[in-house]
Amino acid sequence: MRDVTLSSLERLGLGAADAEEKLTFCMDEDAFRLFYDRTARPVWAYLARITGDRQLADDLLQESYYRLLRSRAVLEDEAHRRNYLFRIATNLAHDARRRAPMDTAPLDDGIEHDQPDPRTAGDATGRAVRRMDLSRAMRQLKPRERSLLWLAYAQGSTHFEIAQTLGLKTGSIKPLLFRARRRLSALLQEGAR
Amino acid sequence: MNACPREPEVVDAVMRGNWQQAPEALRELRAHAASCAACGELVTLAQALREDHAVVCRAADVPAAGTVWWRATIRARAEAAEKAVRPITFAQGLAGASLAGVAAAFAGIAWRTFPSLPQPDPLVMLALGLGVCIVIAPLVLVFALARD
Ligand SMILES: [Zn+2]
Repeated sequence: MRDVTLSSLERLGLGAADAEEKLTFCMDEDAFRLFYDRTARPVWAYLARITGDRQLADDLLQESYYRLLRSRAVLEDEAHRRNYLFRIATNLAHDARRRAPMDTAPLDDGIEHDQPDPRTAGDATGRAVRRMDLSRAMRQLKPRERSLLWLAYAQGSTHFEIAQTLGLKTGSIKPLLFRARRRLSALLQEGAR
Repeated sequence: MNACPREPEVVDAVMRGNWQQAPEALRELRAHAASCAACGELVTLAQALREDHAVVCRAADVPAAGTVWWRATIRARAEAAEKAVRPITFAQGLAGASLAGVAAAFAGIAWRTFPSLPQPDPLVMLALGLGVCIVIAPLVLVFALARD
């Protein structure tokens, strides 16, 4: 992300009012705050899981919202806006991973596990192990398979929403999802052996 | 293994988070999942992903909305400023090329005032002048952009 200041504007003699005129965002600040508060965590979680990199997820989160704000697409309602945001995030994440493929080795995703409650410590450990296995298996999938599985089963998106997010036909989601699921299941079984 | 037509029902129940609570209404569906390979696999994966989603969302340390808005505003303004600068740099390039052209013309006239010097063909002089402009214009542009 570029670190910029207003100095270049000032050098040009463009005041804040002139600059404001050139700011074309697709929503005002109040609407943005509401929308952001409802979507930022799921978007970050999605980015973190499909890139496998917290730092990258931080950067791509900011970039995704910026691109949404600057977009000229006609976004009729919140659901549409949300799908569009996830589509931007998906493209950014997949592009980033094309440039620097995900390392499949590390186990620690840097995301803290639940503090075990002594009464249910066994359960908590079991859950942590399951999450670690899942994280490792997810990393071995193709980016699109990761996106499909996360959107469908972690977020509970409909096939229509998934198609919108991934730029695919709604009818193609079911077989693609089934194949991705089979692959994840095979990887988890392989890891358990 | 083939996909099962009851998968949407299973996903819906897992997403609602009431699979484990097993309300009475789900008894039949749970019994089905226990005997159906596709639905059984689906329950295992969907539950694991759902659980992971909750943990990752809790761990997300996202910046405040105001911070993201502020950064976007600053960046948009800088981009607007950059856009405003671009026509100036093109004008600078054009001006540089014109200046080079005028200088070349004067040099040509001055050259002709000395008949003792070898006098090349006017077409060669024209080609030389144009060549200078073509070389100078991008150079001026590069310098102007580098300064910004
Ligand atoms: Zn079934």
